Amino acid sequence: MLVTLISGLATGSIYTIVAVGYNLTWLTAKVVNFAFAMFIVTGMYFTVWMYSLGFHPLAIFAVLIIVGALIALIEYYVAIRPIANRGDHAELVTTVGVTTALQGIILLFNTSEAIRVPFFAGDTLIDVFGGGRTSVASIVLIIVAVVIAIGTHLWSTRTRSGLAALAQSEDRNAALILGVRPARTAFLVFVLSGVLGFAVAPFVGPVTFAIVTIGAVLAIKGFVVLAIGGLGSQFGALIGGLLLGVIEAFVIRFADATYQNPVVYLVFILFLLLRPQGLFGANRERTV
Amino acid sequence: MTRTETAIANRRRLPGWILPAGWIVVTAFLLLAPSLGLVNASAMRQIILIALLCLIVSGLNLSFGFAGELSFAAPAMYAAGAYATGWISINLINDLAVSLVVSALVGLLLGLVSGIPGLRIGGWMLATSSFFLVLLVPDVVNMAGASLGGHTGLPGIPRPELFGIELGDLGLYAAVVVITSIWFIFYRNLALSRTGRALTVLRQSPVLASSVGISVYGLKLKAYSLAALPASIAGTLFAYLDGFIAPEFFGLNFAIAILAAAVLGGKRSIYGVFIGAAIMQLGPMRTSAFGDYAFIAYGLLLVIVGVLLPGGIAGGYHELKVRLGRRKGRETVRRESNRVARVEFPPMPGKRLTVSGISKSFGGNAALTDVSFEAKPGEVVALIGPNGSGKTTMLNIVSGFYRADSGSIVLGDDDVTGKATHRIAQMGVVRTFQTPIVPEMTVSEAVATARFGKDRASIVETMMRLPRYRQAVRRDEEKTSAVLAMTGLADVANADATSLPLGTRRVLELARAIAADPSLVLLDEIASGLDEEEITALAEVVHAIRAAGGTVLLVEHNFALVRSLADRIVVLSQGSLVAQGTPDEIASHPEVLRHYLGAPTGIDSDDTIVDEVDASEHFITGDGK
Repeated sequence: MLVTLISGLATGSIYTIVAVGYNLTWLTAKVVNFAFAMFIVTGMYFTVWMYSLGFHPLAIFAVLIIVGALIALIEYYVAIRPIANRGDHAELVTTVGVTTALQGIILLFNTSEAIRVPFFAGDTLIDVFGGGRTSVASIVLIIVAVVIAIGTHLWSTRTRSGLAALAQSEDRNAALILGVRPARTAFLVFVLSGVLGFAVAPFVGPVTFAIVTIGAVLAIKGFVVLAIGGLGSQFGALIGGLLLGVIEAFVIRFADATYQNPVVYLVFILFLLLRPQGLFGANRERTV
Repeated sequence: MTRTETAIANRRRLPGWILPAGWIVVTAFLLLAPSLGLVNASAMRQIILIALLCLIVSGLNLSFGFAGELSFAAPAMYAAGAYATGWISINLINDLAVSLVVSALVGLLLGLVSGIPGLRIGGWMLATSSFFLVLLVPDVVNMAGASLGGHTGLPGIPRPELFGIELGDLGLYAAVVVITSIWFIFYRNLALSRTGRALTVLRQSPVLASSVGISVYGLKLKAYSLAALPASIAGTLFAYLDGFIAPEFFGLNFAIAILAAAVLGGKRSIYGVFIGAAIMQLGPMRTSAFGDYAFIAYGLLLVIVGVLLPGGIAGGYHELKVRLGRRKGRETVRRESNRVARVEFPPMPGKRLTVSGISKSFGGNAALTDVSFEAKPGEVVALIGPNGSGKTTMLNIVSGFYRADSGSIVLGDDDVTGKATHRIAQMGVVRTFQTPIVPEMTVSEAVATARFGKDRASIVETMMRLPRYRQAVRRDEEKTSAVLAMTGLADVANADATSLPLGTRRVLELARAIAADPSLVLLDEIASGLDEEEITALAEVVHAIRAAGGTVLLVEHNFALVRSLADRIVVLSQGSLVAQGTPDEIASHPEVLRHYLGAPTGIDSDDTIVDEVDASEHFITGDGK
């Protein structure tokens, strides 16, 4: 039981991280970066490659941070900035395009088969109370996700820069008058999200393995988390992600893996139907 | 897009028979091509695959291009049609017509069921919930057990029969060509119809759409569900093509390829679909040609076209044509003045508006407290008060954009409290906006949008151009041209509505209101930003509405205008009713004077109220707008 719970929390942690990544850019630039999950997957392949070259873990993190910042920067200037304020859901198309292109680039250098991603602290297994074993990597991943979600939550609600970012997305002109620079903020947060996506890869990879197709799956699950937790709520992303992971783990444990996605879909549409603002989202009346 | 299309349509009208005749010729040519030896078996297969992709892409265009909601669900609908066909043909009856009907129904049902939750929020949530649907295809196939063949696929689907005659390769090819040809007639008829324009309005301004009687959710759901129809029909034809289907044919990558074809051809295009589908089918979708680079090609294509060519190839072509046309000296019509000589309208079915005990607060901030008043047919009632006194909030409650916390709104004998905006609009409540909301279309089309809530023709009637649709269009045109003439807009009927100056846009909004045969006209600060002459012209129109028996409720700051227009004035302050009475009574009402001027002398008729209010008022009450 406890093993199932931990494995659910570990999977859920990944969903949480994806949702946090979506929220980061949504809260600051009103853009959801569909490619965020593919950032994580791309980061995993980089990790595997650099381990094979014998890089030190710290060097791997350093490279991931730089590559993540660069790729996010390119995405921002090529696919986001030119269509800002155009409306028409233009970024839906371009960020899906970036995702697909990243997928294509990965497949140029790798096969579509799963590759094991080594964990820098080793593949130690620990005994779990009540029987069964779990990996240290899973435990560490859960801690990382909690820290990231709480950290970004505190950043956007408690710090000066976080509040400024929030303010410019709520009312760009008012924030401009008060001295916030919207374009710069949006850009910085976008780069930050790229760094986040790539830097978590060495934590996520050992749990999922590097498989290119999980990019799209994680991207979708991230949105399910937003539907559960509420768009824009990092705390909601934490609760929603962990909840989703645990639900999945128990469906697989007590039913069959075939039912995993159908059950998640059911949860998804139930939230959309019954509580469209999610658990922690704001419900706003529209204005004329 | 709409604007450029109309501009072209106005310049050079082809005779009505050319398009149908051309369509028949193209279809006949494709039908006969194999017999004439012009295409071999492998070319036939490519044509079939292109046609299937065209069907699917036209569906995506309906939901993404026209209804403005990106959906990835097409492969799921395609799979539903294919599996329904496979199962029926193997187990029940092998008949193309039966399979098509069943697939269409299954597709529509799936569209409806997945659209209902997905469209609640729309945007990314529809995109991902539809993406999810594609993810479920293998799971659902597996759960169905051996009857659908599981992961490995469903073999042994027989060649189709049609009314007992087995269709060979040539027969199936002919069926694909004919079905695609017919569907595109329907698709074109829908795109270029009042429903197509309703979708344009809905995409550009959901607020305007609901205020002219369009159910935003309902119309999006219709478009999204209908999008499933061509995809599921294509699924039937695909199942028969090779007699074998497997879950891997209907994956997420196919969803991306479909999106790429749609944005490449132009997501609001009719004929661009063929170009986009042909390029994708003959290019990256033939894995042999692009190999490992297919994904990179799709991805770059989405980014590049999405950024540089939002209208796709078709949109770019239209843009180019319009630009070349402009160079030839074609200018949009300029309107010099708004002068309207004498306006007279035929009788209007005005109804009595009874507002009783309305209260509304926004997060503990009371915008309206227990406000009651009445407006009768043939009467103009003005709501006045400082900024933040709740005037616009009141209009928004009457027209259904806000829900009152308590109290009731009765129109004639009908209680409309808490009803949806489009329902209220369908009962003849029309409104103008502080900043006029004018869609990107011609003036006469923009005025005709008022009719959406009136004569209604179903999607089927629209696609097949049945008599009821044609009648509705005729009535739209009669009403629109009459109103345009009466409001003095006839000379700009074909100009771009968005290119009009502010004053004319206000007249346009009034014309739109009148074209709906309104039971109640709500006017939100129609005079702000206008000069004397323009205000006089508008006042003339409002007088005429009253003379025709319409009921008018207006919000206005210009007291001179209010005095000349209104039969009765309702004064609000900080959300409460201060006074109501005739303009003369209000001008000398002690309470009103104390509130607005702090002066005992009375209000001059030239005064406007807004700027004399103590600025602190704004901070105390916030702004209920």
